Amino acid sequence: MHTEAEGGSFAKGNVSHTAERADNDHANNADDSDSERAPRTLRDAPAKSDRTPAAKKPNRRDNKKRSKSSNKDTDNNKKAKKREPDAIEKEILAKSEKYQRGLKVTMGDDKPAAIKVRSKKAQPKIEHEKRRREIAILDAARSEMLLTEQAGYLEAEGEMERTYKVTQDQLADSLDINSRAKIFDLKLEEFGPYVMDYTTNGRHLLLGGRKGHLATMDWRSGRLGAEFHVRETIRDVCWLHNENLFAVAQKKYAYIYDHSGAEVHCLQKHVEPTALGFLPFHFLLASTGMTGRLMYQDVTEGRIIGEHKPGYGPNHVLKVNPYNAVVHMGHGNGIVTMWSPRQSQPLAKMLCHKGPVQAMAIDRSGTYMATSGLDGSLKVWDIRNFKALHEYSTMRPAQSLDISQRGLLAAGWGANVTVWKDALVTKVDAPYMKRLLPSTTVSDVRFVPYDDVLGYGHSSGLSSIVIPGAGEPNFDAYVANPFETTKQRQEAEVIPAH
Amino acid sequence: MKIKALSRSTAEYTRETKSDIQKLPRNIDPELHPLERAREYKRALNAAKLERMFAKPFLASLSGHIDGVYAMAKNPWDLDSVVTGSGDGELRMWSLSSQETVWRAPEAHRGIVKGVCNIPGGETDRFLSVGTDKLAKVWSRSESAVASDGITPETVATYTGKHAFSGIDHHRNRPLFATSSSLIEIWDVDRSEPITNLTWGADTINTVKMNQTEVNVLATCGTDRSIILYDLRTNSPLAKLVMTLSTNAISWNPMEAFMFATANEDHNVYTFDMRKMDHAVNVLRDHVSAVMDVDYSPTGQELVSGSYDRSVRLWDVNKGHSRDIYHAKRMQRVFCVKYTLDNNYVLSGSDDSNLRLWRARASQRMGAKSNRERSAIEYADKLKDRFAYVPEVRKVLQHRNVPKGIKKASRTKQDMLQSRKRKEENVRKHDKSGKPRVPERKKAILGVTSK
Repeated sequence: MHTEAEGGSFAKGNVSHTAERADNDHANNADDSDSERAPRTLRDAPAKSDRTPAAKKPNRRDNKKRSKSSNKDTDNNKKAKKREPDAIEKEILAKSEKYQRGLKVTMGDDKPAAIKVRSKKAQPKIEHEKRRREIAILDAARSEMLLTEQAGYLEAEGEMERTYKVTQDQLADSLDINSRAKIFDLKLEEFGPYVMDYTTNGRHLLLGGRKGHLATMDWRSGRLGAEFHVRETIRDVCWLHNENLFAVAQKKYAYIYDHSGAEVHCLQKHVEPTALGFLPFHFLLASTGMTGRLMYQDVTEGRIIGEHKPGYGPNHVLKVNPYNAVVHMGHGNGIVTMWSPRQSQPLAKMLCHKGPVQAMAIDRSGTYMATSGLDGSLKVWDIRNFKALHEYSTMRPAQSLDISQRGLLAAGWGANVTVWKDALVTKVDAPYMKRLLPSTTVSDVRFVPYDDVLGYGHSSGLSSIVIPGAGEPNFDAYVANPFETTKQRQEAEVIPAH
Repeated sequence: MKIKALSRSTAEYTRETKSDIQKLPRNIDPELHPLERAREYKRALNAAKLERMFAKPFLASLSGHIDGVYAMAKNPWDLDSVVTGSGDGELRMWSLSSQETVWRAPEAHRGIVKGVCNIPGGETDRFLSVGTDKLAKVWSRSESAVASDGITPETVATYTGKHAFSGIDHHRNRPLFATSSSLIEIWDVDRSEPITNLTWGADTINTVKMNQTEVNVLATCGTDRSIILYDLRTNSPLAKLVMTLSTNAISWNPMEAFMFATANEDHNVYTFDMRKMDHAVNVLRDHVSAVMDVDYSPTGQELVSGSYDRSVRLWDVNKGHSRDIYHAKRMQRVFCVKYTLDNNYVLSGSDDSNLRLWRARASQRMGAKSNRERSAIEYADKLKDRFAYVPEVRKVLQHRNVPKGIKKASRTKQDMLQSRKRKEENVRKHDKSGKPRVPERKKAILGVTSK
């Protein structure tokens, strides 16, 4: 447990995030207002297909020249001589967008003028640094061809086919034996409904029954870890940094157990907890509960890092934004608040629903948030500017939501689980997949990281279904390794992963 | 329906046999690496802290002399050996690896040993020493071996000068050496009289240094605050530079033959380009007392200086302030310093009769390293480099515990310099003639004359 508690500064993440976004917005606005101006970046540029070289010519100008000379025609003539990038170069340029970090480096031909600084010594250094970054970005984009795995898919071929009509049985027929084994139902009718959690590498499953049943397992091999009964209500469960420790929100307090099921700590500061969240890079356990407070506890040394009182009464919705480690809480009056441990006031508040917030999910890029309320709506938000994007409907209020690594949105409502594809970016008409398990109530849906599997807990146990295209196909072994050995796990605990 | 679901085979992602290395696929998609900037910053901060935790520069104190160590020479043909001369006229040759005296001459000179230097070519263990007794002597460890301990061995040769010597240096490849006293004398090793005398109006000359790359050029500094460059081919001076205070020592850059560094009485180290000496190339300021000696690292990128303020400082030649300060509780005024020729150690000789061995990079450890260790060190170095301008990291990297005396003196000096600057600025402001500001690199230079 003596790991390095990394990433000291929350503010850093936030600030750089907002600054970057602000920059982009600014660029976009500027382009909107002045349609004559040449596109400055690839993102701002119109789609590649409709930019024929002929149409391109009059628009492209050297920014450096633009400021100096008013004679546009001569500039255009000069520019016209430049070589067009071929298809592969274009593809790499398009890919390079996501590898941009910090101050944007403009790729391709549309380079802005060099930044002029007063210091003669600093000027070449800045230029050099810029070139170096450009090379690094392009190299990163090129390295994508080394990725070995392709993402899963489920595509309708004929006009009449609908992906949401495919049942798991039908799916199983066309899957290999390895994937087929991932479709299963655990019948645990006595102690349900169940809540669950997967480790960050998706290998271990933790499930907790409302009536006190706790179990951990390597779910792919079916090997059971610890299984025991705490003899009191369990409201939420949560893995800590790896499969060695997990936290459980029980009737009165939160507890931490180890892999063998031995009680390690009783966290008495977390009174009547209902929801738990873990910040893996800060080693903080966040909880909220019937007292309505948000508690942050450092799990390395046990100190309480923050204790905040939103003042909206009992809570049971808490999610951690994986992009910037901000904790989101959904309240009974429809408000969602966002928190950082060292600030007693919320970073932001959003009125999301006209009734209590029921469930919430945040995507890994930190861009989208999905919420569902007792008012029956399921909304997708852009949390960069706190705006509602789309609204989906479920027959009954969704009890649980989750967003997969590749942006699939899953909702559990009543006895149903519905999954939408591309639902965050666009408004889609029909779901991607769905499943009904009669006479159950879904309590918790969770996508498995790095796999095309959705697990969900319900009143009579736990089900695991295959959702093609859900998981990230290429994992980074230094971040999360589904095939991690014991030795690797031990070393990752001491040496921070690169 | 077109269907495909992720299905990784264990065989593809795990090693086949125990002797294989583990398969560790990478994916550098930023979305898989959340908070990477904050995590990297934290790692940089930890690397900086670790560097300071492991910063234990002091290696050994070589004791034996019974008076202060005032002269030192490293041997370009033998990394291990170093010769020192002390105030009571004793010469000692040390082995750095075993940290002990391997040869000594108790009464090599009557009076202070003012300079020692190695003789190149032939027997590489020959060296020269000069003292205030007007004698220059050639010694050899093998030829003039000590019969029994405590008896001064025989010299190989002795030269008698007219004045008390203050410094000596040998020509790189010819059998010539130069001595300094009230004039510069060039000696042929086969003759008992100097072959040439060089003077340009100085009372006493502090030291003489031959350029080891541009072999016919030599630099001297005198008590009349001058630095004079001579050319052996014409036996005439090249240029004379007069500074506000006198220079104590000179060191030629081994990689850039036209560059040299000087240790000045005004607490600063100056580096000069001999082709254009109307301004210093760099002014290195941090010492709080006269700088007594300076030496270039074999790479020519770093400098070590020893000062009367009882500290040794290490410098990057291109930066204005020292990168590290070394001091020891019992170390007195430092009179000679040397950077060893493997670039890894620094030697200092001081008034307290000890020769001290230091690491050139305080937190570096010698010895073979595993690949993993080396890559971890490289990664940490890169991180520190990258985050060196972040205030929290910079604070950790730059903080040094210095003796109270130095701390106080540097504060007083800072106040002094600031008020002087303020005054200059005020004078300039109210001066109608509108004189331009004098750059710091020109301030200490009174004039340059070329012949």
